[in-house]
Amino acid sequence: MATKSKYTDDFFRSLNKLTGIPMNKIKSYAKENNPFNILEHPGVVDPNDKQLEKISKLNEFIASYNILKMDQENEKITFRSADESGRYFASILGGMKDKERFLVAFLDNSNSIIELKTISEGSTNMAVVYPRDILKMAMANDCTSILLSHNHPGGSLKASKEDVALTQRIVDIFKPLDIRVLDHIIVGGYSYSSMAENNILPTDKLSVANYDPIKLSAKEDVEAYDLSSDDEMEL
Amino acid sequence: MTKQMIRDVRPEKVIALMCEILELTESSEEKVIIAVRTMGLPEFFKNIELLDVEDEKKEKMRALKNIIEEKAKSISTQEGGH
Repeated sequence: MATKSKYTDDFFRSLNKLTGIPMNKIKSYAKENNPFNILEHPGVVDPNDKQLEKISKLNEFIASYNILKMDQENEKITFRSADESGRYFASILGGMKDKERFLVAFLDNSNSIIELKTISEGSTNMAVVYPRDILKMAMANDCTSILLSHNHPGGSLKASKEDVALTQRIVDIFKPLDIRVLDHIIVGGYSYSSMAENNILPTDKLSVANYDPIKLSAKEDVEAYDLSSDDEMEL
Repeated sequence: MTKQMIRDVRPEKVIALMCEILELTESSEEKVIIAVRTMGLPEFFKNIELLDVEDEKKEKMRALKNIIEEKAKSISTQEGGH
């Protein structure tokens, strides 16, 4: 029986990309049939051996994924320690050498992720963080706390004075709203450091909330934050 | 039968299978494996854009995500949806 295709070109392209079956064959078959038949009965598009092997692997993956998903989907990602936060962000930012990326995880009252967002991405020399954007996302997520993280493309794990000052700016904005900044994880290479664990995480409001963009420059090695320093932070 | 199937689906095997389908390079594979082990597959697919892998590999990941989502939709339709 002929069925009107509800599948988009995007879906056909996905099938083409992963199986190597030409688009014209997929589209032609899908005009009158359910395109998922291609996966279940590959013979309908006369695939070659390589395409057949790809289809077989794709079928195996889909079946396994659906079973695994039942197990994993309801598992919230919850942070109970700086180590767990560090490993989580290192899994995303680890090994990033050609750019600097700033992420924020918005958390609920059990410290589980509501949403993870890239706030800023820049070259190895400069990324700009817009506090107003973080605030908008925090409000939209109705979060009770946030975790900050960014990578140092040069690989240093030391928080720079700028990193600490940036964190203070974020705390100044969120403290009055009862949204806690739990930690700021610095990722260098595949390792990480935690400002909270190193006792350099600002926790109290120091200044009036300032929503001006914050430039994150990669002075990671030359201006590493010195725990013994009495220098005042310039905000 | 179902219990047997669930026992046979080991996350490591599924990750390895996914890496084969995506035809990842060694460095991308390492990043993908670390990310999936940390966040699980469903979260991994939600956060493809955050990964530091080649654009071409990201396209394949989006394609795989698209197919599993459409497959899930087609199953729910067969089960009585619209």
